[in-house]
Amino acid sequence: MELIHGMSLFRLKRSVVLGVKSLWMHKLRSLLTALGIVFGVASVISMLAIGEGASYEAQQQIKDLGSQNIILESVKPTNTTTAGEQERSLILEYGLTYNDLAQIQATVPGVQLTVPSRKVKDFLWNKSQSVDGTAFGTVAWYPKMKNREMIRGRFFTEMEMKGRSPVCVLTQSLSRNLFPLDEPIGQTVRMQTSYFRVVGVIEDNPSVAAAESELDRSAESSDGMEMMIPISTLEDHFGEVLFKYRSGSFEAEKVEFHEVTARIDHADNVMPAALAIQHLLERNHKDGDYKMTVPLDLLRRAERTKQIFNIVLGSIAAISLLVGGIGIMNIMLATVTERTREIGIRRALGAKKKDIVMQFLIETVLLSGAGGILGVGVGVAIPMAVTYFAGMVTIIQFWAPTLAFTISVMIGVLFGIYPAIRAAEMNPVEALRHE
Amino acid sequence: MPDSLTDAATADSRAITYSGGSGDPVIELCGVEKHYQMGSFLVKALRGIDLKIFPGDYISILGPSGCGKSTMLNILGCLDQPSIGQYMLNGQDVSNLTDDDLSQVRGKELGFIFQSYNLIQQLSVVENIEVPLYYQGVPEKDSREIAVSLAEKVGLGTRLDHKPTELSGGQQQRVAIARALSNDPSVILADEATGNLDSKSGGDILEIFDQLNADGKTLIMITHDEAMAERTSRVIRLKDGDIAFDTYTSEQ
Repeated sequence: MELIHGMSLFRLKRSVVLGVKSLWMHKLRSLLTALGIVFGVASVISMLAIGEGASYEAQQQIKDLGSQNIILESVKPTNTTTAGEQERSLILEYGLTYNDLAQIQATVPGVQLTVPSRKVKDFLWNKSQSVDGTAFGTVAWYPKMKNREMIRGRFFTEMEMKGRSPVCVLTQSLSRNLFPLDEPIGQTVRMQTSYFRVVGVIEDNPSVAAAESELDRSAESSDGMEMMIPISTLEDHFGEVLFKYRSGSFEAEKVEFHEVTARIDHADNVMPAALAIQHLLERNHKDGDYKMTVPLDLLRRAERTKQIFNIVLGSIAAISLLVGGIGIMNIMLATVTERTREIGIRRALGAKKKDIVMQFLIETVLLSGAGGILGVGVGVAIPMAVTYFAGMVTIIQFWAPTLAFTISVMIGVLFGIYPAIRAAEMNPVEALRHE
Repeated sequence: MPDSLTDAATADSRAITYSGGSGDPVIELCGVEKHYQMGSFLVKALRGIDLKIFPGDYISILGPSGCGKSTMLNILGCLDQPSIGQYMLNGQDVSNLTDDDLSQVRGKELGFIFQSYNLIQQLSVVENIEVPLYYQGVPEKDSREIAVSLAEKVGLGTRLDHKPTELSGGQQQRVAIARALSNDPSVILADEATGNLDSKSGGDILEIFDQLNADGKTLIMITHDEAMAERTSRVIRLKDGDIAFDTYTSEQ
């Protein structure tokens, strides 16, 4: 403590100037020595920023699904031959049913609301202009449950749902494709032989690529070209059996719901409800033609993954900083030996041991601190470049550069103290005689 | 050659009031011995030295190699401590000081001039002269002023910002002299100060020494050059770690 105490501010300033001069004498060596710290610090900051950005993106996508929701999807069974009867009738029947929905609503505790939906894929027409899209039958409270904002107009109402009205809401990308120039609201969109009046435009589904189901979903949904209509209207116009014509063959499938989302009243009840639903569906669907997604579960898993990620990153960063510190120590030991005579001269001219310790310690800290500053610069630039070139979200938390810089200074002290003490403990007589 | 060399560093008038060979001794050695352990042998480098050096003395210490000259210089310069005996410097017993206190004494009371100049390579002329002042805690403004005027006195006023590598040997030694004077020491110790110089530059250095002594500085020169010894007013010859000969040679 006396070390710092005996050092007045002006002497500190002069020691810093002196340290800079000594380091400047060997510019290349100083740069190379500091490089270890530069990379260490830069890797800490950029890895944290990229990791943080990735997990933020994942969490955001999961949150878009709704943390109190349980999402059930119909999945075409992979092994169709086992269902012999269905094969004979040429109609493939699978997925969630009205029966399932009724049971879930009746028996699972905590279920507040359910949003069923069903899709029909075909061309959507505006006069002579067509887009390969999907008619998406759902309920009036769909936007609220899925956290999706209206861009213009309104969503269809419960009245329209009950009245089986031919109204529709277009997703933004569909609206852009069908009505590139006109106002879509009030216009009509045709699918097969049915016409629907546009009442609103809704934002695109942010979770198209979300979570785990992204692969099959994006393949099915024609990139979010969706026309949303009341599920009752969908049933009226397109029936329950869907026909798919492919080259040389055709397929018919009967799916009552493609997707059912259940909103649970409280976050604590989500996991038990998910378990209850799972049991219920396992009984009704022996062939596993459904898939359950629990965003809350995903969120927890993502958080756990992030923790592990952070530990791994932290260890890598710690190791690289350690290596940087050892590099600095190595060079400082060489410097001390090289400057033995200077140390002798200074001692002869009145320098105390603590003056020598301070001189070399300041040099080491300057080296590692400069490395730290450079590293912060590089470490901030890398995530920016990643965002710019790869379009990934990166988040630099303000504490990350601060922490990394502080650690680099601490490394300077930690790895500088031994060479500095060695310098100070030299015998002045022998140091002066050193060639 | 510059005349009053010490004026720059001495605000007080010590240099003037002290005249050669009189007053209380500035250095007093009493039965000083220095022993080194070499394996199982105990080597006695100094064997009971008694010596008084007075303010204004101009001394050369001569002797063949191995006679203890270097040990003597180290002890006089407070770089090393006697094994036995007492060393009084300006009335202060320095034979048993702590390392820190010894540094303090060196920085305050002593000026060193070495055979190989021993300037710090990364510092300029002025900064080299400032080093002892820095360790004495003299504020930068004052120390810069002292250093600049000393550099001018030794004839390097135009090379203040040069690095030692850009100077000739004689110029470097003059920087070293200025540095030794910067803290206004009681005693200046010169170790073979002209050993690395040609006779012309060596002569210049010796003239500066004469001038310093004429200004009242106490100078101790370690040398093996008889011609150099003739310039000094007192000659001490060492032999086998003891004083063999000690006399004032000049008219004073």
